[in-house]
Amino acid sequence: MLSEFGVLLGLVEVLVLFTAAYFSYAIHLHNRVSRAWLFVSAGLVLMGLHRAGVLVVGAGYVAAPKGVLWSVSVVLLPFVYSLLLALGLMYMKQNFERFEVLEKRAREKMRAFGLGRHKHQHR
Amino acid sequence: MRIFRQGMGDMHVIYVTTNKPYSHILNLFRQEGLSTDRIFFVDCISKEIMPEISEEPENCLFVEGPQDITGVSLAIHNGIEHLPGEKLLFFDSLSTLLLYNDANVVGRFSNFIINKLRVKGVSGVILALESDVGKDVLRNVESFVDEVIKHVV
Repeated sequence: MLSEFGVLLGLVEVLVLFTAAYFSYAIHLHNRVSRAWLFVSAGLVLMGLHRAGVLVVGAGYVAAPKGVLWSVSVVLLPFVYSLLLALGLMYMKQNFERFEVLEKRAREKMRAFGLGRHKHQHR
Repeated sequence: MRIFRQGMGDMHVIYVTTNKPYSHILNLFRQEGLSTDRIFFVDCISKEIMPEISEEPENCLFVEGPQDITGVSLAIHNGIEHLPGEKLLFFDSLSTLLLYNDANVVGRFSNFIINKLRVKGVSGVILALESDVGKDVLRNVESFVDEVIKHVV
């Protein structure tokens, strides 16, 4: 069973995870293109719920889950939130790469157009 | 079209379209007998309706869609920075951006663009539907710009 200090630390940990989820969602609201942040937010919320469950069991408030519930809590839930975090970060990386490509393309096309290399192909 | 009919002189135009594809606008210019030689288009709709589109005309940049505010900002920023001489930004329109994005995001985007134009001494024309004028974001934009012109079709 967890000591009082352990429970306190666990509570802070859960709180920090939910705060991180909130920040992640706030970033999504800041720029809706980054839907990837929603995956990260969902992953962090699930992680927070999982850690809260572990804390409740660890503190001895409820008995440890058995059977299917044990599998869900120990294997499935961590797998799902790990997957959400990985997918979110992967999509974010793709977003940044896309912006980099767009920035380069825009710069080159504007320079070429400005230099008069545009051949008026649509006349 | 009236603005372009008056002639743009030596000015380069960055024409951002969020509701009509580049090909359609090009046809409109042709029908009016107007030159697009000095107009660079930032097309936010062609890729949205035809994701498979691959060939990008030399005087046009395709952005993912009107929801891609970062992409639109990048395109405008590069136009302002890299096109030479006098420039005009023609933005059509904020109302479409409001359909695809949160009002706060559009508000921040508008402030960024208007301030960028001011700092760089670039002229700008920003279109919006009159039905959207009462919205907070457009009231905010109205307070930033030099002049609001109401046009009845």
